[in-house]
Amino acid sequence: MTAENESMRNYILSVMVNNHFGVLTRISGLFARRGYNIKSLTVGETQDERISRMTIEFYGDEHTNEQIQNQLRKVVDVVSVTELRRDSSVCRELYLLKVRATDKTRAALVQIADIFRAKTVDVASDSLIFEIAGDEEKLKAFYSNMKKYGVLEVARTGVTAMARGRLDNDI
Amino acid sequence: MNGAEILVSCLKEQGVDTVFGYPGGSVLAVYDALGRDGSVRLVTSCHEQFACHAADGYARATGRVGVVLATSGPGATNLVTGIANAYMDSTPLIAITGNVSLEQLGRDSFQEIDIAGVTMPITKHNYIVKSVGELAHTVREAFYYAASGRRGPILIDIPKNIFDESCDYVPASRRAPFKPAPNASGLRDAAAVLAAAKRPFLCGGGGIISAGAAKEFRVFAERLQAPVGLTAMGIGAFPRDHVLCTGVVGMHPSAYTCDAMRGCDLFVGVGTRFSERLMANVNGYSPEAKILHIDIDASEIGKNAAVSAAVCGDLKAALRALNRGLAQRSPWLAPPGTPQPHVSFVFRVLSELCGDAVFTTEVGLHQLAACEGLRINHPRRFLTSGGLGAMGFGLGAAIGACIGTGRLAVNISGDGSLNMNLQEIATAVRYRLPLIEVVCDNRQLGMITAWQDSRFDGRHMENATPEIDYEAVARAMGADGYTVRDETEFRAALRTAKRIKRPAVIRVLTEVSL
Repeated sequence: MTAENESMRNYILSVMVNNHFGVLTRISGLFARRGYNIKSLTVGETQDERISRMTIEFYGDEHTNEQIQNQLRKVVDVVSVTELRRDSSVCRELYLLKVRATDKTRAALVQIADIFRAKTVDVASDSLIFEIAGDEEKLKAFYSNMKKYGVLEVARTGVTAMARGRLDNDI
Repeated sequence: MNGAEILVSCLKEQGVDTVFGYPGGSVLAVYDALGRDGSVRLVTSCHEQFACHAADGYARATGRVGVVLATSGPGATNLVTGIANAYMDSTPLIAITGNVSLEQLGRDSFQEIDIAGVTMPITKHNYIVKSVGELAHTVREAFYYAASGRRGPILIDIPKNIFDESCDYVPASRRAPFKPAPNASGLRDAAAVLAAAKRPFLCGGGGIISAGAAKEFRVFAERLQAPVGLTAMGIGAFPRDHVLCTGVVGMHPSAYTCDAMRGCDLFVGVGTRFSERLMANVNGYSPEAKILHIDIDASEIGKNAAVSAAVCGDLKAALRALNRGLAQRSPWLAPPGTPQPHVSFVFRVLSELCGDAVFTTEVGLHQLAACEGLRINHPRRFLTSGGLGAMGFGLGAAIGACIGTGRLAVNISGDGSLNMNLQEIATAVRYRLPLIEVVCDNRQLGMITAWQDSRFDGRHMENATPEIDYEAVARAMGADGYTVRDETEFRAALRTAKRIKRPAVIRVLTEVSL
């Protein structure tokens, strides 16, 4: 049952966990141990301080997805596991991008940033830092626009997400 | 009450009658509280690993939750093999470790180890108790989770200052473990594939024993008149002497088992996780057969085997529901008329003379031979390290089984495995257990030899074992010792050992293979 076929794609899981010490280690350890490939993992407290929401993005096929969900549900500290589909949920990530800037290119960079509604959050003599949040496509497009100017550093938060309308997790 | 007393009270709430373990600096307060209480039996091994195997053996033989207690640092790390073994074979076990005081935690103090971190991948769940106020709740929850759903080990790490601190103790009664109901859609699908199958083959695993579903499984097999193969963990789930029982699946299936697997159009795995060894059978003998999987753990469904239908839930309830819809069928495969293939006299005589015993094994050639050769007809009478394959398990497990059931325990060992746990003969002597250690001594690691013969052109690297007079060693530890060469001598020694009801070591001088 190898995971190598055409049906490989990115999956996003919203996992509600008890807000205890060590829970992050339990979840990340489970992924490492079973050889599942995490693309990003974000975690933060929810409206209920006893519960944290982990948003896990991974690359795999449907079989791996089922396995991961079943393995997660066995972890005592996991309250619920929900798969978020892109068409019925809001998925956002934030990038900080440090881009090389000269007197000649600075204005063009800021103009592109405006079009993408990115914020210029630092101006140095030879670089700019942009802050941009959005879905995968928007961030990719912004990044590729910046690339030719010279991207010096990238910091990404990883995806966080929420289902539209309905409550995605009962907590 | 102080923490140590609360811990003891909580163990008693759970019905714990025996604690296996080994004392050490961080758990002395617990030993003291257990001693003052006086109602829980303490069994102290020579090495923590075997206390853990004993708690595991106790759990497997009785169906109750086993408890092991060890000190911080090396005491805790010595439990690791035992906990991993319980995890792989889904045994309900509570491992309690002391640790350094909270204020010393994280400072690399003397005998400090992050045992919760170490055991995270080999426990269902584990805890570090951070205040005496959460101790009782933690212990209760640990017992509940250990015995709920698919069973398994849970570790509770308790910094030693917690044992000395006091808080109110409010008694509570034991919470019944959770049994997931079988899914209705799975039951419908299963009924459909069973109805369509002309030649079903049943593979029974340890889950049947764990669920107490041997009776329901027998009805299932008899209605279908389907041949039944058992995994190593499933031995005892179905009577070995039943005409439908083909023997053990896995590395060396019998001709009857092979015929059944080859001929089947539906391979039904019940309470088995379709390990890679079973999958080798499925792929090799039954590649065309559909697979029906019945198991308590959703994450096992479809993990290794692509299934046509699956029922997920408590096996007893699942089999009962399926049995209700099954009409009586006639057999599709005749049992072999030819006599059984060669079985060593060791297993013939043991089956004949020790029918009431709990058998345990170590790991190696003797284990495979025991799986196939012993006539085990009841659940919880054959305990073996199925998943981890831990040499050293058997003698510890035999001690636990003996204490838990009061039955004669017979551990079948090789000389290689006995060298891993030899000191525990002294534990059996100390507690005057009716325990017989049968060591099939071929002066080598037999399974290593076999693999070297088949895979490495017979180059025998490091397969020899030290020659030890186990009869003399047994006597030095206060047990009886026998050395036998053939069936007559073995029969005589076994009869005597059984009658005397004292720990005995019977050294059977055997050839390379059993």
